[in-house]
Order: sequence, then C-alpha cells, then structure tokens
Amino acid sequence: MFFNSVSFAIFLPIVFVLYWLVFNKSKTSQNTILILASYYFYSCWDWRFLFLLVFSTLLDYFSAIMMENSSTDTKRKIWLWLTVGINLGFLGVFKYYDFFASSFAVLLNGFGLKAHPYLLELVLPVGISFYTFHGLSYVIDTYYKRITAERNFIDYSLFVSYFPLLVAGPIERATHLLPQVKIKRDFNFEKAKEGIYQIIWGLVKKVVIADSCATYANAIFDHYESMNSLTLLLGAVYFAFQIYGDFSGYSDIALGTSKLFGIDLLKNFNYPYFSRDIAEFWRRWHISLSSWFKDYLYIPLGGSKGGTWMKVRNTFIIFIVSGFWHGANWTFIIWGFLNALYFLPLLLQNKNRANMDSIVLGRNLASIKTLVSMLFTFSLTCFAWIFFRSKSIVEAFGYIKRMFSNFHFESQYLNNERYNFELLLLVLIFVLVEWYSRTREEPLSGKFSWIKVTLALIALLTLGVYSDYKEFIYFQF
Amino acid sequence: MSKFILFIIKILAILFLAALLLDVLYTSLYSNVVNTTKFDFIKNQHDKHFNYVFMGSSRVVNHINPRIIDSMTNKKSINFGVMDAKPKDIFTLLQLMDLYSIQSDTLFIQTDYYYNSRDKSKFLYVDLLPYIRDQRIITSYFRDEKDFWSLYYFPFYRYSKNSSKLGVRELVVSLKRKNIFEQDKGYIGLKGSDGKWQRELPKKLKKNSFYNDSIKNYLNSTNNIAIFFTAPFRPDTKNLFFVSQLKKEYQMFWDFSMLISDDKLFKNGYHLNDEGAQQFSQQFSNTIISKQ
Repeated sequence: MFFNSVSFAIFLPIVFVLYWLVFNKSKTSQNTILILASYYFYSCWDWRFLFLLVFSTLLDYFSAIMMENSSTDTKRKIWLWLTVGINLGFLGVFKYYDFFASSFAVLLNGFGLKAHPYLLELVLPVGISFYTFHGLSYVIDTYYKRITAERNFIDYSLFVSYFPLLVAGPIERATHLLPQVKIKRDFNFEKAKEGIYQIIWGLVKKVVIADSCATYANAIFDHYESMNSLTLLLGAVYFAFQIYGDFSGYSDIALGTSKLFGIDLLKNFNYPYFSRDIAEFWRRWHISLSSWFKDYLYIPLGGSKGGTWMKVRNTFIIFIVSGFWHGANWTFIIWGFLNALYFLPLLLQNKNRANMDSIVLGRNLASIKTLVSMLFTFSLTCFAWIFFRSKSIVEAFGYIKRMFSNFHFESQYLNNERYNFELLLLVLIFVLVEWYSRTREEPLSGKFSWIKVTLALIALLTLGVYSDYKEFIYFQF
Repeated sequence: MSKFILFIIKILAILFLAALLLDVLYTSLYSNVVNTTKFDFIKNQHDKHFNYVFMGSSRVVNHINPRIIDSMTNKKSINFGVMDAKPKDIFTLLQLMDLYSIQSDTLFIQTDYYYNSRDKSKFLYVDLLPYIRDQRIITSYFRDEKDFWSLYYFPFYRYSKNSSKLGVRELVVSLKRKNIFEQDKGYIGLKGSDGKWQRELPKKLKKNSFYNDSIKNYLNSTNNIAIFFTAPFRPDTKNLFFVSQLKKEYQMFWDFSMLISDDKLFKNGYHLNDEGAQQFSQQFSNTIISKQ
C-alpha cells in the first residue's frame, strides 16, 4: 500500500475515523488501533514478513528491560551486543548476504580459484533498514541511560511499527516519539490542517515532480550510450529532482499523516538543494539518518575529538556505511565515498559548520557568492547521484565518461517520446516555489492558502504521472 | 472536529470542481479543436463515399498507400488502418463508419495473428477516450475495461490515467500539430530496414472468435462487400502456415503473406518499409484490377 495509492486514500480516512471517533477513550485504545492499522498496512506488502517486525519489537522491548534490570555493566553490555547482533544479523542476511557472497566469489575468481557462491536470493522485507535502525537507537539509548526502558508493550510496539514511518522513515528517536505515544492525544484542528497541507504538497512532490523526472531520468540512464553531453547532464539533474521529490515527498506525506493523529515526527528534509556546501547539504538531506549515524556511529567512534586522522577516518566510515545502508551494491559505497571526499576539504579547514545561518539573497556581491556556492554544491551532488542511480560501477563510469567526452549539446528526442529539455520549466517552477517557502514546512499554508491548495490540486490532476505507476525509491532500502 | 470535516469537504469540493472543469475543457478541446489522431482523420471523412476502404492494424497503416491505389485503379480509396488494431477495433470502426455515414463499395480488411485477440488497440483506446460519453458505440468499446465506471463517470480520471498520451503537454502540442494522416490519405511510410523483430505467428486459430464473428455478422447485416487479406510477412516469419488456417475462415480472402521476399523491402519482420509498401500497393491494385 503506497501513500500515493487509492487503497491508502481509503485506508487513511477509515483509520482516522476509528481513531478519533471510536477508539479515542484512552491512550491505550488510541495506540491499539494505530498498532492494528500499522500491522495491516505492513501486511499489505507481504504478511509473511510481519513476524520479523513483531520479532524485532519483542527483542528490543525485552532486551531494554533486561538491560535496565541487569546488576552489572557486563550483563548490560551482553544484552546490548546480543540485541545489536541479532538486529544487524537479520539485516545482514536479508539485505547484504548475497552481496558479500558474490563479491567474495569475484575476489576468489580473481585469484584463479573458481568459486560458485551460494546465494539466498531473498526478497528484501520492506522497511527493514528503517525499523531496524529505529529499534537500535532505542536499545543503545537505554544502554547509555539516556532513556529508561519502556515497560508498556503497547506503547513500545507503536513506537516501532507506527505506519506513517514504518517503511521509509523518518528514523525516529525514543526521546522524541515515545513521550508522544505515552499520552492521550486530543484532536487539534490546526495541526490536522497542517497535516493535510503537508500531504497535498508531498503528493505534488511525488506525483508531479519525482514521477515526471523519473520518466526522463530512466529514458536517459537506461540508454546513456546513445545520449549526448547535454542529455546526460540533464539526466543527472532530473534524477536529483526525482530522488528529492520522491523521498522528501514521502516524508512530507508521512509527517502530514502523523499530524492527523496528533503525533509530530522528526523533520527529514530542509530544502537540501539550497545548501552552500556539502556539510550543510547533509544537515538538510535525510536528516533523521544523518543524525542517526552521527549519534550512534560517528560519536562512539570518537567523533571529532581525536586528531585530524581520527576525524578523517570517522568521516569516511560514516559516509561509506551510510552509502552501504542504502543498498548492497558498490555504486552506493562509491556514492558514500564520494560524499566523504566532498566533505574532506571542509573538515580539514574546519569549515564544516561554516554555513549554519539561514540563506538570504539580496542585490549584493555576497549573494552572488552564495548563489555560486549553492550551484556548486548542487553540481557535486548531481555528480554523486550518477553513482546512486546507475546499476553498476561500470555503467556509472560509462555515463560520466560519455558526458565529458561527447561534447554535443543539442536537443535530443528520448524514448519516453519527449525532448531532453522539456521538463526544465517544471523543475524551475518547482525550485522557485521551494525557494520562496524555504522557511516553512510546505508552501501551501499562510496567505492565500485556498488559492495555493487549488493550484496544487490542479497540478496533481494535470501534471501528475499516473500512467506509469511508480513506487517510492526509498522503499527498496 | 466539525471544523476539520468542513475543511476536508471544501478540499474535496475544490478537487471535484477542478476535475469537472478540466474534464469539460479537455473534452471540448480534444473533441472539437485537436485533429491529430487516426480516429480524427476517420471522423473527418463523414458523409463521404469511397470505392475502397482499407482497414486493419499497422500492417495497413504502413502498407497501403491509397494514392498508388487511386492512380492505378482510377478509383477513390482511403486507408483507415489503426496502429495495433485488433478485431474488436475493426468491429467498432465499422459501426462508427456507418454512424458517420462513410460509404464504401468494397471494404478490404487485413487479418492475421491478431485474429485470436480479444484485446483492443492501445492507440484507438486513447483516441476514443475523449468521446467515451458521446456515442453508445464508443461507450460499449470501453465497457470491458476494469475501470470503466471511473473512466465514464469520474471527471478527468480518463485524462489523468493516460497523462502521457492525453495530458497537458500532449494537449498543448496537439493544438498546434496538423493531422499527419491527411497527407497520404491515412498511409504512413516507414523508413529504412533494421532487420529486427522477427514475428512468430500463432500455431492454431481459435474457433468461435467473438469479435471476428461480430465483424462477419455486422457485414452481412449491413450488406457491405468485404474482402479479407493478409499483408506480406518477411519470409523468416515463423508458423506462416497459420495464414492457410485463416483463409478457411473467410469467403473472400486474398493471401499476400508471401508476396514479397526481399529483406530490404521490410522495415522489420512484419512491416514493409516505404519502398516495400509501394510495391505492395501496386500489386494490390493489380489484383483488384484483375479480379474486376
């Protein structure tokens, strides 16, 4: 069940009505209906994987309690590593086993040893990377005594399986979400209205921007050998907007949906393509994952407390692991490595926290510098996206090689029956809308909201791509 | 909560009104202003009389050049072939021809591997969508669609669902574009010869084919003279014996399936290129003359 599907449009109002009108007597009844709805939501993909979700919930719930009840630090540590090991073990088997087995076989074959790896070829349970990290953050926070173990199983189950964030985040923190599920929610019209605006804007991002860009990006990436430099350049730009519209659109719908139930989720995107350097980009892109890696990997590794070498090492580790988190493919690892390389000069010059202020443009030289910085950062990001989008390293290098060697910049007719430049106007309008609403969560609220909502609905009807139904990219992670 | 319900009702009302207005606008433009599709071309021939009307799939669109037929036979012909057309499409077009008072002395209907199909042309499907509420014949064409109810009743659904073919971009482009079928009376030639797309015909012909029977019954009831034919296939086509099974299904059947053997005259396994179409149209004219 996708957020942009008819079934979700039926599911959501039913849950909303049950939640506020039937099961609103107590916090427990509210949480129970949300858990049931979440399990139903998850089972719509594959009910067989529901056991994994339930198992992960039970494991983290009991481990945290056992950890808290442990009399010695050693016992606490054993419970921590056992839980982390089992959680990552599941993730490893389902997501990474085949990658490691086949990569190892390639390595052995390189040494002349004929290896035939045994591959499991398992279907990846949807959302496994998200709910595993979600649960891990809770267990680690309990271990470090940042929080106390949750004793109420219903509350904890909802924290893990809450359907708006279940399959593609944001990756919540117990400190943020658990306090909200532990109290009875009262209906708040303003919050619900904000939620609806965010859902509509998320749909525009997904159906109008991401899916339109997808038809062009697919046509270009899938036939890159016959494309000219301009088309390949545009292909990278279209994919940049595809993945942004897709994932931030999903996050907007998730946040908006959650607001309908009176629960705020962590903000996941903050207009990342207006970043002035790559450090700022990573503070604005997939914020819940970046901060997860910072808190649970970078800082435990020593963070920036050690010398330069330590900082560089830790930076590369979190970027490469972050890339690998996205998928079991060398392309994601290179993508992470590339972002670490981009980050390195800032780190060495101690400028990685240089652009913490809000972005202001005026008619002065500083604004030109800001604009150039944003364009430069966007170009670096687009270049890295080529690896993220390509099916293999060879394909990515082939794409880049052709982009910088072809030197033909004329318009080209693509196999989606469109010219390569045709989408630029839509992308430009989207950028302008985003720019003027960059201080808010979405552009529809505020003055003239009804006019803006009407325009968004018209955009959904007339510019949305419905003929080639596409799922959200991040569901595969 | 009542404020929120009112808020949602307003949004749904805006959505419905927007869809309704857009539906009226798109339908009006597609029905009255846009003139780019093969169906538009066929509709434009209303109240006209032709000696020969050719019907069928792309193997008519790309194979029969009416200008050659006209010059060789001194008659008036037209190409009503529709890309991807199957028996259901032919049956619908036959009824629409009567509706638009398009008369013909002889109908030439191409038949081949599509004989067994109960599906419909994805091109005619899109061409006819704006007219779904106009005519009973067109309505019934869509009645077997799973989402017929939404296509027919839900405003703008048909345009959103087919946005890549009937979307805003297509609409704007179509407003400026001329009907390419006008130039050669419905014929579109293919260039070059890429050698790919080898066709494999079915091994068996399905008996009691609903739409083929409907075509035959319709032709009988309207006293139309119809000659069925199979256009040339490249000789490497598999199961060519299927055509001999087809032959038995029709009273009047002309078999051109093995008429052309030169690979250079084929765009691919089952489409002649422009040069091949010229030869075929000449041969077809000769056959008409010889049978007169």
